[in-house]
Amino acid sequence: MKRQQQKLITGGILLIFSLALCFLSGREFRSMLKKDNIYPSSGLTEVQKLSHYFPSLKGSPGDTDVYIFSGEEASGNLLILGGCHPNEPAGFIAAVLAAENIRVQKGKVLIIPQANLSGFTHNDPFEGNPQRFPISTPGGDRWFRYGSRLTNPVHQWPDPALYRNPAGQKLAGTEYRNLNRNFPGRKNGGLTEKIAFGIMELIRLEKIDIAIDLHEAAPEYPVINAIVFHENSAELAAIALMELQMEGIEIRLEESPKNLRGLSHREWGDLGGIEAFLLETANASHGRFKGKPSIALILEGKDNNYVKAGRLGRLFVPFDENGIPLEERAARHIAAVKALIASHNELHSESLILFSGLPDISALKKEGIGAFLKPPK
Amino acid sequence: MPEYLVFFLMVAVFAVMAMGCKLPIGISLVISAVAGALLGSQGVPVRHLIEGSFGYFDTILIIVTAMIFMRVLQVSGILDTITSLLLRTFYKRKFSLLMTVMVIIMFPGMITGSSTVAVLSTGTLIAPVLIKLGLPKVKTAALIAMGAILGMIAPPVNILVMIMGGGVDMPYVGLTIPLLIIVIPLAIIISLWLGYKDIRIIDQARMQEILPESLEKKVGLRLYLPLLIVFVLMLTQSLSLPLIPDIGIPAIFLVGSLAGTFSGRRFNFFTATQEALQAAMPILCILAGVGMFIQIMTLTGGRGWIVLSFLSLPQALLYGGIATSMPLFGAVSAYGSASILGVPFILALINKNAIITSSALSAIAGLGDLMPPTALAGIFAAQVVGEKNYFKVLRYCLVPAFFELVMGIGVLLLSPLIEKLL
Amino acid sequence: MKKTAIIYCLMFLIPGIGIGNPEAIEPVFEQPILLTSAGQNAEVQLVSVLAKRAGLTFTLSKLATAAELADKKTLVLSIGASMKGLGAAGLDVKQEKTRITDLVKAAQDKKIPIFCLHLGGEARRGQLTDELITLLIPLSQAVIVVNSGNQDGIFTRLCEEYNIPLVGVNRVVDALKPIKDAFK
Repeated sequence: MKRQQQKLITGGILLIFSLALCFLSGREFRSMLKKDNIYPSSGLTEVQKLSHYFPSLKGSPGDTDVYIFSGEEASGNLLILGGCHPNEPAGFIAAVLAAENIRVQKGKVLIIPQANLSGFTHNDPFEGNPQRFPISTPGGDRWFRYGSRLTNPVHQWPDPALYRNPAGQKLAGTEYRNLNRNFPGRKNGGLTEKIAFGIMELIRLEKIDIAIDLHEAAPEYPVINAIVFHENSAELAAIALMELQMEGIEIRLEESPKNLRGLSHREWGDLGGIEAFLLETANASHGRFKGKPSIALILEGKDNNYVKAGRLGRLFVPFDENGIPLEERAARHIAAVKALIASHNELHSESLILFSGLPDISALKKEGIGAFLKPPK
Repeated sequence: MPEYLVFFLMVAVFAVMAMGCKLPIGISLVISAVAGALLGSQGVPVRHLIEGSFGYFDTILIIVTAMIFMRVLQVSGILDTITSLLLRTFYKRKFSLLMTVMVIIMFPGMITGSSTVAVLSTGTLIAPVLIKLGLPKVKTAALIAMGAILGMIAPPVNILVMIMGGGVDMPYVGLTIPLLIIVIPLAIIISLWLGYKDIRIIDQARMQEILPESLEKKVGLRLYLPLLIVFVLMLTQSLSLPLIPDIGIPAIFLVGSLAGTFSGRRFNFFTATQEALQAAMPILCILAGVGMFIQIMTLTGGRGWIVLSFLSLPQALLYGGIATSMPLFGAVSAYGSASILGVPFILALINKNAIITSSALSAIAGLGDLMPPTALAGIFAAQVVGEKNYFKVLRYCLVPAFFELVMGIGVLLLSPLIEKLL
Repeated sequence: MKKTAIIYCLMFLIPGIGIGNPEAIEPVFEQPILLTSAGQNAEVQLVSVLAKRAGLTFTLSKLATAAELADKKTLVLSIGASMKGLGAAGLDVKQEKTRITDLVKAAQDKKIPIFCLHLGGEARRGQLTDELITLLIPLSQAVIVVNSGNQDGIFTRLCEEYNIPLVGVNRVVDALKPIKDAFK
């Protein structure tokens, strides 16, 4: 009897301890549900939800905001996608920068800064990443979430052992939650497939002409500092590269592989019939060689391990003690978007897209991202 | 404190706790993770510890449900019936017994890409047959563990290659032949190496003596329903058939277990699940602990240091680095090894055919499932045969693992030659 | 776009400037041209745009074979191995090397001159690309390289050794003039 009592007491203590742990960690996990504030520029025409284009997403954790900026005259339509992978902050921040600064004169620009909104609500186990990072603006710090490459398993679960994506490619089961392997999506599929389907619907209904998906990659990944283009837009990509080189930005071209299915640049081009691009910059904070994960690593991009890896010839991008800061990465994205649109305009005078307000690379590098973001409200 | 020092101190704390203080492995891992966080000036990062412990959440669910399924097979009499059936078929045919056994063990791994699933499903069915025919239980466990790992590597589903392919933009196409080139010789050699000497050919009278009770006559074919359900659901999942929902492996095992409640002997389902959970608890605790350990190791910079150290090896030593680091890193899990080390190694061997390279690396990474403390294939194989000390099983896995390692490295080295054959 | 117009004006005005630009390429090549990449790089698209701007008659064939040389007078190769590109073409390194070796051999048999360009800069170097460089440069009649891809002097060394005219340019756009000049 006494033994039984002892067991009960031990069990009780352990239970209380577990509950305390659940409470403490749960509070931190739940803090990731708090939305990031984005303050669109005065040129904003309307804000829609993705469910506007695919009603089945309504009220779901994937129902993200679409910021629409229309010019005075209808013409070509551009889609800028950020946050497809929420652990690639330059893509997200570049899209936020665009939304907070752009003014459209001709045509229409649609910006989705957080394409996989669910992925922003959690972090990848084993990666030890911070939950959010600050950007200093003259009016105080603005905080943004650093999420996961994948949809939150709380929102879409379980993963199959083997995932056959809507384009027919066989992938590891976790890719079921990777938005950039889920295109063109499934109407009745999992949440991630539905988000992908919603984006395809947006492309169709808004008659998008050109779409740009903003990403980052680990410095050891072969496709980096690159414009990945669908083969239907090879000339456009080549002209954009020359423009960027004129601005002193070294970037390379990579053609979208035809046999790698489910990716934005492949399916948007194939099924949407649009000019489709994906941009990559180098993000040390989600690489395999990274040292201590920290806010500084996200913002400054300095990492001694990567300096060493660079010296060993293991990287596909120059990497020195100065690192590759977020300013530079976001600035590269902005510059590439501008160059791609300039090239589009050169080749397609019938669907011109004219806009202004996006910061220059030199200004971004000099004054920092915060100088071009609105202060926190 | 430099990151490598934090890492070594974490390992030291773990060793002291597990061996010095004789604490359970899982608890020792948790303590070493907390110590690592403190030494790495991170305080006690509750969020990171819990986040890390959830890294194996899906694996934990698979293990719990597979253990329940295994228990249901035992108490409902299905296991005895299958043993009886296999014994009656194979008692005097040693070679065909070993070959059939190998294929049966490998099968669930082939269609799910998971060694744990193979061990806990068909491994459970095979173990009593081999033991009754004279194979020592530790060797039986070794055979099951190795067969399960080979199943994980064999086509059509090799998750390790998919993980590595995902990191280098290589689609999962054209892998069947390279993987078969690796797996078939190993499956034959390993089953013969571990089993041929000890398995006895017996006469019918002896066979009748050791034959467990078969319920087949009493219950009929209904008895095989749980196995049939699990088999069909796993197969449909691997084929991704339209209209059949993908319910995931844990749910498949649960459905199979529930079917077991009315297929054979009557039993208390609740008690069976309790017993299964009790048996699974130590390994679940280890998995949660390893998850915390890895998260803190990454948080304090240890993971990056380890990966970079292996990648810093000169080209001449690179193969040695692959042969040692990938199985050792399997302590995290073979999947972790494929993702963290497999991808940089494919890139380091970029001048070779990526399909052959990733196939060979998957064979090497697969050995990680023998590596304690997780040893996702090995520990469960020990459990299936009722052996408490995993290291006794590991001893018998060493030579077969060496065969597999040689095969993996050999395929890497002979890649240009194999490419010609394809 | 005004800016783009300025770029192209500059391209014509600025000759192939750059570090280590010892000589210009004489107009030795003739049209029509067969353009392909050695290594399935995307820079072949840059060469294509430049050729178009230079007013050259060319056919771009990513997987060009010897048969396509039939009515051509120059073979232009854009050198650089791209894993993504090789994957896209469903090839591995070895198959690509075989394709290029066969193509080059056929060009030599037919006495069709070979013009090599490496426009990918430093980012498009590495073991695979270097193997292609060593294989192809000695067989070519002229070479244009973006200087950042020649920091170790591999092109300079090979071109000197085999007495091949080499033009180094700082940017891709700067390659337009020497390309234009190289054709009759």
